[in-house]
Amino acid sequence: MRKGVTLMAAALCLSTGAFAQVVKTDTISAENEDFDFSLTEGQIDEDAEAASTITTISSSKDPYLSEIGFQWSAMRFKYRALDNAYVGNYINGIKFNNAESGRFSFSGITGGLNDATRNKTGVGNYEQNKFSYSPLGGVTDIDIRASHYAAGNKIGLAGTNRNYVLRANYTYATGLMENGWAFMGSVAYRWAHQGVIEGTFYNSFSFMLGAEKQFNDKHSLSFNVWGAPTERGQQVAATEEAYALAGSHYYNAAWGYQNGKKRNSRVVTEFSPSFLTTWDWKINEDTKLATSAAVTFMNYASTRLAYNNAYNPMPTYYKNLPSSIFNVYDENFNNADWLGDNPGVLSQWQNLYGYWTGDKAHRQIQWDQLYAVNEANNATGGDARYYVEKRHNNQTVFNLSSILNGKINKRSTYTLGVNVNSTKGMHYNTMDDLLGATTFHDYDNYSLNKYGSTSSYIQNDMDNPNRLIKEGDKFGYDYNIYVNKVKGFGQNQWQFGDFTINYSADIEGTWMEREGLMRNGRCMNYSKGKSGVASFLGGGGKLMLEQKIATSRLYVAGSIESQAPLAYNSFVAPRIQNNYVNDLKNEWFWNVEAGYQWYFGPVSGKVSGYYTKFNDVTQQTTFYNDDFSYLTYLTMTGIKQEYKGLEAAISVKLARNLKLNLLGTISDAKYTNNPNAQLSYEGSDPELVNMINAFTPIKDGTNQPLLVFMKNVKMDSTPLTAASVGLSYNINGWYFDANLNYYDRVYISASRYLRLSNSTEGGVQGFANNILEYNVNTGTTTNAWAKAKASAAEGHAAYVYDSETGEVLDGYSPESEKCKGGFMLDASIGKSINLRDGKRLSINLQVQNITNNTDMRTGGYEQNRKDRTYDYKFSKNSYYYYANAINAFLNVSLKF
Amino acid sequence: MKKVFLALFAGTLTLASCMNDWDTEMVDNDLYSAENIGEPTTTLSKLRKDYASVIEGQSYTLVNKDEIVEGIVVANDISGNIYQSIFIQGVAEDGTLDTSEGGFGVSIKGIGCLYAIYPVGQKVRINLKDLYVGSYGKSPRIGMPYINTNGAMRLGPMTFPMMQSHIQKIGKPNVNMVQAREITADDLSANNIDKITPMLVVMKNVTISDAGWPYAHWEAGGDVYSEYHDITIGGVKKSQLLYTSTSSTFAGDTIKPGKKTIYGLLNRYSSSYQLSLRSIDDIIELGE
Repeated sequence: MRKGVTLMAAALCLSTGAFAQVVKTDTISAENEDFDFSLTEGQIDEDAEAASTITTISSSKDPYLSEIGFQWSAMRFKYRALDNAYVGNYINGIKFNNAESGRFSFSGITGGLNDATRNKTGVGNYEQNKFSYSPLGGVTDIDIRASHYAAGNKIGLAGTNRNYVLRANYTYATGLMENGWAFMGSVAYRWAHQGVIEGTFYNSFSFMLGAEKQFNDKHSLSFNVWGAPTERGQQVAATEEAYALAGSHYYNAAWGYQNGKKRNSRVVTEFSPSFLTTWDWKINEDTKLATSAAVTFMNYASTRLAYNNAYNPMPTYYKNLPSSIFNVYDENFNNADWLGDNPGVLSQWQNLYGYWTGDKAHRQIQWDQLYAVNEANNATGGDARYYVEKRHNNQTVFNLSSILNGKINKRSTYTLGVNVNSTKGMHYNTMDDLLGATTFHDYDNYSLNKYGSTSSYIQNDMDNPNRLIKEGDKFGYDYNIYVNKVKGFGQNQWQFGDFTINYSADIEGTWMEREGLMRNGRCMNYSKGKSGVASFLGGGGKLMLEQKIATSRLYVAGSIESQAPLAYNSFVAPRIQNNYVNDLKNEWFWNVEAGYQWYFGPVSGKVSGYYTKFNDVTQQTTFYNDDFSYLTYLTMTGIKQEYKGLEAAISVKLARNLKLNLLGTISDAKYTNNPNAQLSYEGSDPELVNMINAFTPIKDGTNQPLLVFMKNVKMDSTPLTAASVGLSYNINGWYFDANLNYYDRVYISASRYLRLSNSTEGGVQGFANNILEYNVNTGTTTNAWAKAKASAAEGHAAYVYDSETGEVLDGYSPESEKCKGGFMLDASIGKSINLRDGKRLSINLQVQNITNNTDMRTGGYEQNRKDRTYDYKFSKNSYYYYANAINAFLNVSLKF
Repeated sequence: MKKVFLALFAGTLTLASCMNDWDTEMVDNDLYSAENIGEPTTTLSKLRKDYASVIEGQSYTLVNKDEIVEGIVVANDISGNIYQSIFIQGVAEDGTLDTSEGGFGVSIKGIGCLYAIYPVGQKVRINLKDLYVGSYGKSPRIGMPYINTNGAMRLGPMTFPMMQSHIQKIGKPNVNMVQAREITADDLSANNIDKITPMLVVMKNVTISDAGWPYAHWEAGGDVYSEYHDITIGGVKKSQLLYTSTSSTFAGDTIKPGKKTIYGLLNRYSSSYQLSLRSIDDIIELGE
């Protein structure tokens, strides 16, 4: 943290001499400017993988979009169940979504900078957009030009019981001064020695500096630099059994005691300084050109406890749990008689139960044990059995954007723009901590017993075989991903009285390439060097028709779009090889929606409905396969998905100071086909790769395309049904809000691996289309389809195939698990107090989940292993995440 | 008011957490041993006799009284070839390792890397109360019952907490105390199998069949978990004697031709002898 303090000291030492003769301007006057909802930092799980979980689009024109991000954040609501990659996040007209993953990192890019990023414009997919071609989920642009900040000082202190417990922030802006200069600076610090989840911690310093020079009434040039060096300890999900044994849904298996002190194995360090410059040119009264260029140096690393031919050190490893002793779900075993006849089984269950519940330390990582093993192993000359590795995902990003806004005539406006993004992603692994071991060599230990110690197959870096690794050294993998994008777009709006037509189109070229920096023994001919460039051309168009009727508006809209797959999903096994996934192509979607928005006296609101269809989507999931000790990549291509729903936001003014707010959505989002699959194990040679991708429904028959049975599986980790009823009251500067929220239909992530058409792990069965079974007792005949459906209903994917060709005719997936719905009550109270000399004191207290509902699952995932025959049942033990218990945020700020 | 805020703001800066340099933390390595088990009340030899029926019957029985036995670790899971077990042999009257008779396997799960806790030469005492004594494939075993993949009840490993409460480490490991008994082809007779298994043995001037082949060939997608090779001792071939698990770190290593001295754990499965290398270091190539 010394680095963070040094940076902040430097920020505070900015010359104040330039702040001469301040011209106070107050260009921002949002109603709730002083109330820090701190949504994007206080309520999100800032794990990069969970960056897809939040919706932050807040369109002031749309009463639904303006509320859902905040109201439903506790359940990690995703707007229309869309991944964060379909939501655009811009700063001064530049898109800051990660070009490789598509997602936006709130913590990395804007974490802690609430005041500095307050000037936002949020628009939905079809609203008039003066800075971008909006993606499907809408877009937000943050304006950080120094002259657009309200002049003055603002200092704030906050206390909370969330990811961090204390926050301090200070922002100063000169506003636009008479000499044409404007300056701003903002610093913030967020801290928790331990966050609300045990074993987590938080240290983050954020800063932003900005300067702007208005040369004349036509040209201005602004410059900003910002960043947020952060170090934080994370939590991991657990099974319900583990939560029950720990006595809490907030049990965190990611930490343990080392010599009496808490040590977290999952520590994220990130720092992504950005430099942005914007040239604004007011060509004439109606025409403006805004051109921005930005460079970001993203540094993101996360640690992970790893093991090498040793016992899994995670406390939640299934063999550590009581239910691994015998099948507790089978009444044939879990009864007094059988257990009485087999007291040794019962005593082991009780022994593990007592161990877990008897001492908190027992259910956490045993750091001391890991050191003991390594130190004993030193005596044998062996490599570390346990170590902490650090996975680095860095980027150097260059962005350029130029947006022209103008008027054709008094009825028509247009926006034209071009965006350029060039990203170099640098991905590698380093040794963070040898945990007392003295040696570690860079080869794949899990390939060792298959290929032998002298085989080149085991080498991770054949050009440096068996390299001795010290702490800080790279090992395992090292590769770069290059992504270049050029996009052009245009938008035109025409108003004919109360009728408006808005149409837009875009075209985008994408080029991607992998460059391996290590020659991997399992992929020796296609791991080091460049993969060759894959290029994609995408584009699309949108149309919205809107009719104003008195104080209401009715609109219909539609769009179609083709876009490149994400680089993140495009390589078979990116850590070790250059091959692209098979059949890589653009995804495309089309969307239609309609809505009605009104202001009828005291009642205002909006209702809308939408339907979206995706085709040819590519997705990749990565997980560690315990059974075979392999990192596994499973890529699906040709995915089809369907999203549809109804949304409503209604506000009723009950009295002068009292409003009733209603918010709700009922939606569905699911896969609509069984996509193609490609499987790769990181420790596998080409022979194994061919074997695991083979699928022959007919024994010794023709190989068929490998599939994942995903049809009708729902999108996970977001409530597909959500509703709020709330009251807002204000009087004499006080604000009160209370909202009762209901969430339902949260599904956990289905295991793709167990739904593979050739999965013996998943017990996937195939039925020839010509089979017919006759039941003599019931007189009924069962065909292949009925049998396949019955198998899926029992929890095993199944398919029907052509008895002559082996072609799959239909496939059925078991449903993924639906979490139980429930209510959460939130409230906030605040007051703004005007003090002397124009100062203003603001106090705001938010309390979320007032009734302390600790049973609300926000999501989770199925395990990727098949049930053991007579003991542990992976199918009954999915991993879950839970919404926070009662939590509060008290913010006090002073403007002066 | 402004000064108060600035002071508080500055105060929060001092709360910067000092991240631990974990390497400098002292780690307690004296772990996982029970304490004060007490003096031995029986011997491994007597245990084999007292529980001969369940051992022979491939069954097991609960020990419901304090019975404390002592032994020396002769084999563990250092390479993964021996799984979830350590093997102990008794202490002779002169304080040396008893090589006249086989010992016991002690099965433990939930921890792994047993070799770090129970290295070869470590003396241990075990209080058998509430544990089970029996056999696995007629090889004497101390552990707990489990349900195998065929639904049958077998003697398997005890849990990690049971290990902590029932097994005490006595003193520091003394590798010099661990002497392997030399075994000839004649020793590997049906009459001897009850007596000399499980035991640390050495076989001299032997060859292993399938030179050039891996110790345990791993096939893509195969269900092969182990492999056997013949060993020729003094010109006498003993078929399918050398056992290697595909999980062992040396499984993929190539068997070299020529004479060797082989150390290993001589065990049994039912009426068949099995020799398991503890690690590849148990093979001493003689180069002939």
